[in-house]
Amino acid sequence: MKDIILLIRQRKEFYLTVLVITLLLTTIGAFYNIRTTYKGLSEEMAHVELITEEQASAMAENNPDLFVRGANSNNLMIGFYNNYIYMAHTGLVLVMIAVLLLGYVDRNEKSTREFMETLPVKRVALELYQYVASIGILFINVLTALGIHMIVLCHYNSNIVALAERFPGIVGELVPAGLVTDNVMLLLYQFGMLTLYFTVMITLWFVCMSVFKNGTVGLFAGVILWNSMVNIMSRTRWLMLRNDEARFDITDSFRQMMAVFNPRLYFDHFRYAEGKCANAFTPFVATALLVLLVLLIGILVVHSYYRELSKGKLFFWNGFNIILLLAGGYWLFTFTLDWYGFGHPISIPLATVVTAVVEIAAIMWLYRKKSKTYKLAVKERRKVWNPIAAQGLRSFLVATGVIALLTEYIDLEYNLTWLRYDLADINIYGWFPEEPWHLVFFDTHYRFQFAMPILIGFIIFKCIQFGMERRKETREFYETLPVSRLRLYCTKLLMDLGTILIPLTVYTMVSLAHLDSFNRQVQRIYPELQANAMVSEQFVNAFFVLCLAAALLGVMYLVDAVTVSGGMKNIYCVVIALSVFVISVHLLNYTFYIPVASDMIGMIWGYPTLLSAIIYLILGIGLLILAGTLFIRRDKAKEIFYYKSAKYVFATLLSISYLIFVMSGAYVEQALYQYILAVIGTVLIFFLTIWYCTPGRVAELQKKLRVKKAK
Amino acid sequence: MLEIKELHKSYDKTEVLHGISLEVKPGEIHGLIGENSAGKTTLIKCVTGVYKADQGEILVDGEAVYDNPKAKVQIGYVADYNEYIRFYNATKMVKMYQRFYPTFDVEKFNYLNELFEIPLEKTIGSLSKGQKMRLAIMLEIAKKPKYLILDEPTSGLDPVAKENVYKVLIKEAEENDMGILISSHNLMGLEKVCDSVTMIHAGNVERQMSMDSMKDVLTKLNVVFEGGAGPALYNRKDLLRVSNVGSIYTLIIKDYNEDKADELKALGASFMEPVALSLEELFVTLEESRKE
Repeated sequence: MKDIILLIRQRKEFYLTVLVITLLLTTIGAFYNIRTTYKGLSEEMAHVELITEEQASAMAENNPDLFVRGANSNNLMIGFYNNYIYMAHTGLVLVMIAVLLLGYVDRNEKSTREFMETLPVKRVALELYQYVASIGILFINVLTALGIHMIVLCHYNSNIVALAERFPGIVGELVPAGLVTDNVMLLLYQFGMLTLYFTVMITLWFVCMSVFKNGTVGLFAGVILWNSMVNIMSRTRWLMLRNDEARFDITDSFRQMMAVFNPRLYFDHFRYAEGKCANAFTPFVATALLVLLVLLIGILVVHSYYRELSKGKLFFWNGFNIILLLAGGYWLFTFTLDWYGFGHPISIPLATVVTAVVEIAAIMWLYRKKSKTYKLAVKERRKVWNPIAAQGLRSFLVATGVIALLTEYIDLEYNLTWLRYDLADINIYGWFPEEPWHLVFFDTHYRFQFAMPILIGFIIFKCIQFGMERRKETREFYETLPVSRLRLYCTKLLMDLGTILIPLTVYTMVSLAHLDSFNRQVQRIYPELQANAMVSEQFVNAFFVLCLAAALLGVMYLVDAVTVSGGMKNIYCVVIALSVFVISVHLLNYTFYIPVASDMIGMIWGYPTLLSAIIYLILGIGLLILAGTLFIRRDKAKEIFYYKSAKYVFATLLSISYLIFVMSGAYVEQALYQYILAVIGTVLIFFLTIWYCTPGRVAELQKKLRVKKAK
Repeated sequence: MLEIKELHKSYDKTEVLHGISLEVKPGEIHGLIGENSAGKTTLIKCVTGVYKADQGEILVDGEAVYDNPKAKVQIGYVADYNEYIRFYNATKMVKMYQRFYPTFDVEKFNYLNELFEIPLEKTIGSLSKGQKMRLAIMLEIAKKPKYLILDEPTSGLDPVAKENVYKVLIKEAEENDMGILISSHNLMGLEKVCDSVTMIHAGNVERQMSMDSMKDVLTKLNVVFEGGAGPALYNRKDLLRVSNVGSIYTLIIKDYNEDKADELKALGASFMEPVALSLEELFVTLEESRKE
């Protein structure tokens, strides 16, 4: 423990920064939560006024029901089951964990890790101190949130009790005895469970980060594993039920186990339990979580003790390869079942084939034989248009093309069998008896969804490519190649366009073939339906995906052109995505109720229309030209951003997103503190971001402080 | 004393160190040389406790190193790349070292910085390769370890800095009794400072010797063959290297003694003079003879 404390103290500035940020978020989150749940303290007075008015009118009209209805419709009764405390907390904890994990990944770099290993501390401490710090910060945040909620809850419920005493005849019947103490107990229970959930989740993430040689991969594996547990259990339960009806009792326990991995499922269960803490469900989940926690901490400690940097390739212990193959295979099997709808018999053979193919490929890759000779086989020199392009294109095609092709192929087979079977005449009449035009929308919308893997795969690989450019040496290597910057830019662009165009063409062709078969079936039933419309829709879909990709490329290339490090490029992309989401959804829709909001949102969310496609295309071309100009002119000696203005855009996007998010979430007309928090937060975020994005900031600050001290 | 006994280490199934043994006494400067991938860096990482040995022992004054803070605190390690924590600057690194190493001497660090001139406020990530190396040497010496292990310490340094590094190392060994183990390909530099060397080849100790006994291994001779040397000279199995400028031949010969001198005379040598063999010549000759 001494070593752990020593290591935490060594990094205290980082942890204190994280603590301050998370506490700020916790406080904002708690108040946000309180406002949305309880509608604020100031509203109590409105309730009192309402009750007085309703009482007056009830007296006048001699109708007591009127009062009761009025009181209920204004959420006078704050039952525990209407309390969504855990929702606000989730966002905060995720932010906190993201920051902590960034710290972990940074320390997990090979050279840094080797340096840390030379420090005179125990190896277990070296592995565990980040975990201990994370859990510590989580607990402090939970206690703070609990304190705020407790004060407000007690105060509010005391007011309701006071109201009940003032209006015993009518309100008194609605308020149960022990309202304050019962809700305090429930709140404690809820926070206890929530803390347990997050502790187990963080522990699992750390275990995964610890066992994988690459901490980032481990983190992704951990996140996927935790988030897939519910799905895996649900599918397992279904598989068991499907094979043997008599096992229903056994498989029913899966429902409880599923709640072990999802707070929402747990609290939903809890809500239906009508606030009774002592039902059988809670002890099961709590016990399961505790057992899991002990088990995971045990694995973490034991593994920390035995792990050694020179061992293993993917993991520190090669035995994990087998565990990964088995667990990954099962995960893929259940995921594929879920993806293609597990209700139909064809889904199991399909999932089995997909899993088997991926497993065999993984085994071949993991256990491939490496050449021990020092000589390469001499091949005839091929004329490649550019070595980078050739290699990059190959990776991209594997990632996006193959996935898209596979998806399309399976989708086609699946639809030709299952959909045809399911969309039998009687079903089509049953579903769309009056408005057969819905079929057009149904199908085109549905078809569009399947083009998404192309773009998603593209984004993922672009981010990986950015990540690979995170080191200065790599970036500078590109500059040493005998290729002009313009050619490099055009090559990259053409490569990316090819990456999108090839699978998109295949997708469109396969999709049209499928549509043709679908149309014939529909036209048999509805001869008046113009099937050509659906075909042209499909071309719009393909064109739309291309235009969306152009806009996406424009944004990513602009970020690439102005941002120096690969890590920062990814952060910039996330900030842009975040701001697009927040600004479009919150600003247009919820805050100002702008009439065009839904169209705009439709465009941002990617609904395929010709107009939105053209807008995307123009936007994309403009951004690509701008990015190309900046790419060619950039000065490699810069840090963080190649151009000064980029940091201001970055800071503006970040602070505006924060401002809109904070302002849009609650009833602003009643919340002065929100204005204050929002303004302070926005200004702080803006200037802190600019300061953070200024190279040599620390040295400059220290210099200024020194000058001040000297004076 | 720093003792390495019968050290074996493998990466997965490939064994890279096959039972290496060596010792570094307090006050001694010991060189570690070998071709690329001979296992020098792996050996150093085992000695510094980064890697765990599969077999064998690594002891610092009788204490095992791996996962033992008591032993680790006595070891300084200058790696071939010294990234430390990229976002820290030198000042922050000093603070960190003060926390972990009770013997860390800030005055010594400042004294060394007068020689090496590192900008204290710049982050490590933004320092040049040479500056990172200088900083590493300063930090590791200022923590006053009993044993200092350096992996290619002169890589990236300018000639003046190299000289300063060697001076500082000699001073530490002489005045503070610091035991030093240096792995380097800069054999001229090693020759200047080392008391002894270990040559490693393919994970085995090929040769261990003091610098004084180096001449016992091979001998370098300047020999005059009036009218040129005949094929009989070139066919000798004990002749490892030969070059000539006119009639003056430079030979490197194994197990040289009086009998061999007579044999050379019989081959037409009119004048023979033993000259100093450098460590680099010794290493290159042995490498070449092995490949032949």
